Amino acid sequence: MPEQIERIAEVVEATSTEFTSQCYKLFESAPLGALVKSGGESPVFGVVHDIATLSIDPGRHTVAMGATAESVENIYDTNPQLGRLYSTRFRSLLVGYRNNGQLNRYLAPMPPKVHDHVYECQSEEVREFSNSLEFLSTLLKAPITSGDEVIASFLARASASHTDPNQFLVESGKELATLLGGQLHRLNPLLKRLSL
Amino acid sequence: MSLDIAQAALQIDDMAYDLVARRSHREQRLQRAVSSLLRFPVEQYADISEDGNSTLGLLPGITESPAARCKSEATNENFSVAAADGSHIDIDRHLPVRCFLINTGIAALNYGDKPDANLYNNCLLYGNEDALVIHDPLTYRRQTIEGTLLSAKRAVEEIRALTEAVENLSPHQETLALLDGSLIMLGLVGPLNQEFVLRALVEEGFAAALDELGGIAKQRRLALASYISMPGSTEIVNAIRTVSCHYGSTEQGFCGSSQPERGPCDNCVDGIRDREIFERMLSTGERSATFTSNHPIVTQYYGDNGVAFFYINVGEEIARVEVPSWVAKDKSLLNLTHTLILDQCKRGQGYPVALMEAHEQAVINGADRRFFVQHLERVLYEKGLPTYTSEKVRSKRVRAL
Repeated sequence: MPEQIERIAEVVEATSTEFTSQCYKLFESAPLGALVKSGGESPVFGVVHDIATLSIDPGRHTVAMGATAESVENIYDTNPQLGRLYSTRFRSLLVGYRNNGQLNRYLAPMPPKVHDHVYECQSEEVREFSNSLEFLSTLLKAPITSGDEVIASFLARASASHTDPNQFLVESGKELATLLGGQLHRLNPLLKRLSL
Repeated sequence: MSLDIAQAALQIDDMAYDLVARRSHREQRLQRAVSSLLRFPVEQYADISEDGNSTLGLLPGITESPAARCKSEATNENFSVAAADGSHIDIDRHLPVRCFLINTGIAALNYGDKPDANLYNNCLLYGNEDALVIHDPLTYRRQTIEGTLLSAKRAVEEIRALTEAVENLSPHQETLALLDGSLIMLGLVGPLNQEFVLRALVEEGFAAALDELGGIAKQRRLALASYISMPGSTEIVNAIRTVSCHYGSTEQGFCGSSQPERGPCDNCVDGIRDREIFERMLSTGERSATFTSNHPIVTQYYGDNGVAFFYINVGEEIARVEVPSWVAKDKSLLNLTHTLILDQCKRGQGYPVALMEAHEQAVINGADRRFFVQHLERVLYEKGLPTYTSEKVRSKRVRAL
């Protein structure tokens, strides 16, 4: 039986290099560094690099309301409208796509369609995608904030899908050392994050 | 420069000086009003105010001490609050087609074990010639729905939308249905609106919807109320003047403060608003006694639905709450209204959260209005229909030098 995976979000903005997804449930985003996909039989793959929960109406500002509340859950339970007034969105860097069964670890010719469903990839697909690390250069060059943190998160998560997680991290470290030659200020913290 | 700010600022300064100069005088009147309310002669007033009207203004029905202070009582933790609000785009004679649009917003909130919210809106365009007027089937007279008449039609659509929202809520939970503003269709008062218009909008419209909600309330725990923030009404002040003003009923109510060449009497409370009195009377969370409205539009067109009202201290302000008589006469429904309005204001930081969300659903902002006009003109153009506008609007758009 193939794994039944639940759709978690829907594409609301898409460009050649990244796509933004709106979650179906508040706060239930794929985590930072997770591999996600969108697009049915020929999906594009992305790595989550930014998660935000904001007011749906940009003209309405959030005010503090929990001075006497027992917990944040209590605030949402006693103000059920809040769940309808915020949305959780996450942005994903495009890192590959599948075409006729062939997995490519570089930018897709077309971004996903707006309103297409978004799924978090399961361990089997994460392992298949991270068997080759050629997409790392795309992530390293991406003009995003905390890009190295995203890479470290992705590699740490991907390692869990491999039979020998430590070996996967060692190989990832070697690949990073090659790609970041001469950039020790970036390489060292990254390797430290991977505990190598 | 469209406004000479400096000139306006000077006038604002003068106005502020004038207010300061009159402050102590106003304070005296307010204290008089409060002390008059504390010793209000309910029986004597009942005799004087029999018909509900006097030259001092509209008089409310008062059957219990108006100085009474009522506390809220606990209710079930599982309850629902539904609120409706509306917004409209009026007929614009500068547009190539006569039409108007009403947008109703609904917030239906469930609290307790299964908290949930349903926020939505519904817009309806009226462009058909028949939909733009109210007909009198007897005399074939007609009156165009625009301006205050459109506001009244919107109020009817709001209460109908609220009724539908209530019907969609679980009948097993106590429910408060809330409207914004007054339950009394004050905007229709005046000689311009003919009898058939009042019948169509009030009797067959708003009052019929009140009847329907009253019918639902017979089968489940349902209270209906309208909420007026910072009310400007003076019915209680009118009642105080009726029993305390020296010029009162003995001289057909020609109060000295409103008569040239005659000074106000020693008991004058003119210029004070009801909410200012209850601000001194009510502690946070308390409500006043209930009073009944004797407004002619209620007595003539609301059928069995009388309207009662009370003032409530929600912490941040004194609000006026109006309820139909079937709520006012049922102590437990009145308490439900009192308690849930306080609860809503607490959750909404001073204003009922359900009304706030219904308003957010209903509001038509400037960008929406511009899109409406542009889309209308584009569709007319695509259909080969004339898309002219007035020279006045054209000149405002061009703003030529």
